[in-house]
Amino acid sequence: MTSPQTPLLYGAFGAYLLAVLIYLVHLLLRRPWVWRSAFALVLGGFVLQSLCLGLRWVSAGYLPVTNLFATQFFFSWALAATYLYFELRYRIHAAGLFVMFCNLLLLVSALPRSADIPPLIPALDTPLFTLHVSLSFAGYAFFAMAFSMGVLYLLQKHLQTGLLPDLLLLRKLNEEAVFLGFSLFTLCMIFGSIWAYVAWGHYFSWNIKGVWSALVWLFYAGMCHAKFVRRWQGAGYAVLSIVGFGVVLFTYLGIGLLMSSNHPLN
Amino acid sequence: MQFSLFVNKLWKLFCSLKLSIVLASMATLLAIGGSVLMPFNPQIFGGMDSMSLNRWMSKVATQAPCMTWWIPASGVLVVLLALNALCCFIDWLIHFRSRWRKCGEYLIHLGFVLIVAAFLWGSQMGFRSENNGLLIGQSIPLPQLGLVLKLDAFEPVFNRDGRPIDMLNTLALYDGDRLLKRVQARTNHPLTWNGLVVIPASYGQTLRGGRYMAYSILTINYDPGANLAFVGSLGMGSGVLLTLFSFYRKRTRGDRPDII
Repeated sequence: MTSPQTPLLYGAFGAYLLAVLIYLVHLLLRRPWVWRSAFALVLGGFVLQSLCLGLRWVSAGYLPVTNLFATQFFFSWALAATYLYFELRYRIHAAGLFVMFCNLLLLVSALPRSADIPPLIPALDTPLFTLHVSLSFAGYAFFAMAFSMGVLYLLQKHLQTGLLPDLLLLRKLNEEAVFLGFSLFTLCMIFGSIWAYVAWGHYFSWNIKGVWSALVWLFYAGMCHAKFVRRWQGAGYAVLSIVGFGVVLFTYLGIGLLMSSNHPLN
Repeated sequence: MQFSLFVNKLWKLFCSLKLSIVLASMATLLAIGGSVLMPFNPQIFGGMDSMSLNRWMSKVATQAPCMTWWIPASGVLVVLLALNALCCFIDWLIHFRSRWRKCGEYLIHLGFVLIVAAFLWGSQMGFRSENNGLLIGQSIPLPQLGLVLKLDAFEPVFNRDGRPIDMLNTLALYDGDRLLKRVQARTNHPLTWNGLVVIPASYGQTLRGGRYMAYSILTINYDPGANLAFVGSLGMGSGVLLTLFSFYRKRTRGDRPDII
């Protein structure tokens, strides 16, 4: 990665790390200035990361999301954006810590990798690819948020603590995260299918990645219906959010790294 | 009387939201279990994209029924889910005056139904053909469609390092002597005509008359359901956008989901 992208990336990482630490302090010391500082750091980190992403995009001439470093970097950016959305809308404060942990984990594992931008293969040189990948990671980020809310819902149900938001808000946030994730992932699948048709001549691929992407869609489509059934509301929905994110992680990392697919991450 | 009661019950079952959840869960679980076999058995599953599903089912799947039964089984569940979505859509149309606010959700249902129907149509009636090498001026008959495809011009494009970056194919499609379509096809810009799609997949070189000549390697697929699938995806996409819009409106008004 070239200057000034490196300081921007490390600056964003530092800001997120400090924000997570301050949010942990906020769990013990519930003062407005504590969460405001943490929020300002996430916001600052997001601005730095956005600048870095913008510079990489301009220097490459395309949205760089074609190798493991680039996808981790973009996923981390989408997670930060999702966190900011929920923080600004619902003031979730430390309840979004898991998403920020995920974000840090992604950046920590991405930093040692080569940040060089590989030349774009001709089949990827289309706006359909950019839309497909960016919507996919935006969807994944909301599914990660749903996972976080699901875990917190189950914790709150057992602990009944004042440190976490109440069950009703956690349920509402979980449902919203699943709905937004599903909407974005549906658009990702549509653009991906159109692209596959013009690039390879078929809109559905029986490659393992294609099959599991369809399964992710089907699973969350089922979840969008399950929220209307009393038995599945609350704890059931929280468990489904956790299982769903497991399917998402396997589709992104498990297949991308461990199996031979048409979406390699190396 | 009993018959109409039975039909009524069946209709209610197929309009049921719980049936959607059961079918989606069963299809997901079955396909998760079955698809684990795919990477470890490339001799069975590796060629699925190079032929229509119908042909693969009759040619390959019948040779290894223990490994492949989950595909038709999941397919049946997905078709039942599409039928369920269609019944819900019709039921919504019947009650449109009181449920018009759910336009987005039901457009997604309709889009799903159209995409599943298009996929089945294409799997039954379509064909796929890879590695069709053509020199400039050569033609290839497409007997299933009664058409002929001709390569009028071909030029591979290289970057400064000599790396191939594109393939410019001037393709012409004929019905007898009548020209139906002539386009310059390249990467991500195929020739398309009524479900036929011709993709410049690669190229090679051959020695002719003492000098090397480049020839184009084309993928020729025919999927009569492709246009219907595109209409379905348009319906689904606009449904998603409408649903997003109505979701924020409902949240602003403080609506909660219906409880069954």
